[in-house]
Formats: sequence, C-alpha cells, structure tokens
Amino acid sequence: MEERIILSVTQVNLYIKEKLENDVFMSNVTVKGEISNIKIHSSGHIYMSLKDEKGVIRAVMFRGNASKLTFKPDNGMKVVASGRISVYERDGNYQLYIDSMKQEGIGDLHIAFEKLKIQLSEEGLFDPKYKKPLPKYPKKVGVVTAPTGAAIRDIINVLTRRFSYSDVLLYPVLVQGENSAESIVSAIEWFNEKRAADVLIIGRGGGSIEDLWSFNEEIVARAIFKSEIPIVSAVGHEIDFTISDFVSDLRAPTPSAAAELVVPDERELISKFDNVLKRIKLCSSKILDNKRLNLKFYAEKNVLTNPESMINNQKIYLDSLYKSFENSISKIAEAKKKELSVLVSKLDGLSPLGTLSRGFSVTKDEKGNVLRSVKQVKKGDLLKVTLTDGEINTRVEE
Amino acid sequence: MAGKENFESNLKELEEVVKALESGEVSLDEMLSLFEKGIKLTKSCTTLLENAEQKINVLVKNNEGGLSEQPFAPLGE
Repeated sequence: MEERIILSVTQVNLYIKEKLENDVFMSNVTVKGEISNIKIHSSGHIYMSLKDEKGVIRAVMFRGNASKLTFKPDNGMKVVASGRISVYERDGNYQLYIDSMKQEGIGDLHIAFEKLKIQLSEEGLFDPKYKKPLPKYPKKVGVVTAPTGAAIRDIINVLTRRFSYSDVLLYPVLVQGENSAESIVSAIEWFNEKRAADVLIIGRGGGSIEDLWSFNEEIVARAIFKSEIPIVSAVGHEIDFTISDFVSDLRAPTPSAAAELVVPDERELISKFDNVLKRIKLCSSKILDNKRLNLKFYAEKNVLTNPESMINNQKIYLDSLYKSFENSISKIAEAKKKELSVLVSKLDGLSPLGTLSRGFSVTKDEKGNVLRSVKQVKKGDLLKVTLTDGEINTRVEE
Repeated sequence: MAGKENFESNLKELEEVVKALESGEVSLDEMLSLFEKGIKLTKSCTTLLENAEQKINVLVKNNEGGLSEQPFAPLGE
C-alpha cells in the first residue's frame, strides 16, 4: 500500500469551506425556493430549508439580519434569498447563510393592488356618499371570517362583553388560499338575500400580503359595494390596508375593534338610562314647581283674597270721576261768565247811551225820528232831547 | 323575542318623553302621564338589556343543501 496523506474530518470540512468561500460566485448568491422546516429559535436566529421540485438546501438567517425582515417567514412561502454558501463544519453540511430575503412575487401583488385600487376608486366604489350608516343597536351581527383563529374569538369576546342584546351569526369562510374570495362573496350574498343580519363584520387576523390577498380581490370588493347591509371591514393588523377596507362602509383596524364599532357598550347604556331617569324626575319636579308658583300667584291676587276691596276701589274711582266732572263743569261756567262780561263791556262801548254819558244828546222830532240835520225842522216844531239821565221837551225858536 | 323589536322604539319614545318634559310646555295632566311613561320605558329598556339572552350561532350545511344555524363556541384559547 502506498503511503498516502491521511486527513482528519475537520481538515476535509475546512478545506471544502475554504474552497467555497473563495469562490467568487458562491460567496454572493441569490436563491429562490420555498421555505420548509422553518424553526425560529428563541435567540432570534432562523433555521430553515429552501426547496424546489427536485432538491433542498439548508439555510440559516442570523438574528441581526432576521430582525430586518418586513414579513414573518413561514413554511410554504416562496422567497428569494441572498447570501453566501458555506460549510457548517460540525455537521459537514453546506448551507446558505442568508443576509436578506423577500417574498417572491410580492412586487407583482403590489402592482395589482394599486391598479385595482385606482380602477375601483375611479368607478366611485370608495365614494363616501355610498357609505351606509351602521345601525345603533343591531339585533343581529353577521360575521364573515374563519371559524377558527383569533379573529372570530376576539369578535365574539367583545360582542358578548359589550352588548349581549345582539345575536351573533357566523358564516364560516376560507380567508386565504384558493376559493377564499369566492367563499367570502357567497357569504355576503347569503346575508343580503336572507336579510339575516343588521350589520356585517368581514375580516381575518394578521398575515402576509399573500394571506390577506382575498380581501384585495375585485369580486370581494364588488360584493361589499353591492351589499345593502352595512359592512365593517377588519383585515389583519392596524397597518394593513386592503381594497375591502376602502370599499366597506367602515374600516376597523382589527377584528376586535370592528366588534367595538358595531355595538354600543351596554354598561354605558344602562348608566345613560339612569341619567335619563334623573332628568325625567328633575324636569317633572321643575314643571310641578312652576305650576305651584303660578297657582300661588293667582291665589294671592286681591280678587280672590278680598273681593270687597275690588268693589270699594271701583266706588272710589267713580267718586273721583264724578268730582272731576263737577270741577270741570264749574270751570267751564266761570270761563263763559268772563267771556260774557267782556262781550257786555264791548257792547257798552257801541251803545248810544254810552255816548250820551260823555255829554252828547240825541234830538228827535215829535214823531220820534232822530234828527241828523237842521233842515229837518222849522220854527215852532216841538223836539225831544234825550240826555243820559232824562229828556227835555223843547221848541225851535229860530 | 318580542323585546328585541321593542328596544329601539322604546328608546325613541323615551327620547320624545324627555324632550317634551324638558321643554316644560305641558299641562299637569300631560306631565304626569309623560312622567309615568318615562319611568316605565327606562325600566323596560334596562330590563331588556339586562335580561337579553345572546345567541351565538354558526351556519352549517344541512342535508337539503342549505344552511342552518347551530350554537357556536370558538375553539381554543
């Protein structure tokens, strides 16, 4: 047997490792495949396999890089991973050390999302004028979601805690994968056809954009728009926005928030009733007080307490009227008297008697005619001269 | 459940009662009957809420190919 160099296992692994790490191509590769056997260690490192139809490669993503992921990797997810190929000496395995990883086809989904959003928006499906108000006190809340998982549990918890008056009816649907959009559509249509609820919550818990995709489907959007029952959409977490959110009557950030939006808090209502009761009592006693006050006002009026005083008052009034009547009558009489004496004195001035008193006399012939000229008499005529205090009979001498 | 039909209309009536009372423009007779009505309505609304028996049902396929309701309890915690 020839002498040969004998290598240790470690030496072989190290050699291969160096070979791979010095390979320009292998030290910087991008690989696409489907995740399987994923294990997220408590340290934050992620161990998994990437596979395609024919083969598998082990892969690891250390905590530092894993913390930068924008999605939660899971089995079955198609990804594109970049990193280097190297050897894990302990197991003698080569594996992909992943620096960064993204979901395959996500770019396409984003484009489809934006395109549909613009199209439906232009058609007016998101228009606020189509948004229906939610009933204040729904008798029945319809829920369209998966029968298992956190979403339905949260919704039922909130509905039972807040408002036991509302019945709940779950229409179980697929919320991801094949036929999920169709099953959501038939649930919405069923509720409308049967008028089986006053308000609908449709939604699901969080997940990747692919998981939420059925809520971005056009048929779901159109079914929501057509629904005559108001719909609250609650898909994923607060940060996730879907087409369903835009077209529904109200968007809730999470399924439990949706439940809080559709029903009032019954404890608040009951305390409101207490308040209403207080208001009714207060108003009624106020009204009573008012009536009492009115009654007192009238009761204290003289007519009721002392009717005689009313008559006396009238008598006194009558007396005063009479007095003032008398007064004014005598005043008028006096004024007339004065007026009369003024007139009389004026008359005096005009009377011939007045003139006589000043020394003039009136001469008349025998027949009593007043003489105005000497031509009216001849010698021997008898004349009568009237003075202020008597008459003289005289005869014309010349 | 007859109560279910009444809750909302009761509330509406209650609002009207309070409004009329708060306006103060009612006769004594009206006031008394409003007061009585208000008390009755509040009590019945509260009772309706407190005694409501919430049904939580799930739809399942029945033999005729339609859907029928049965009580539902979410699985697991």
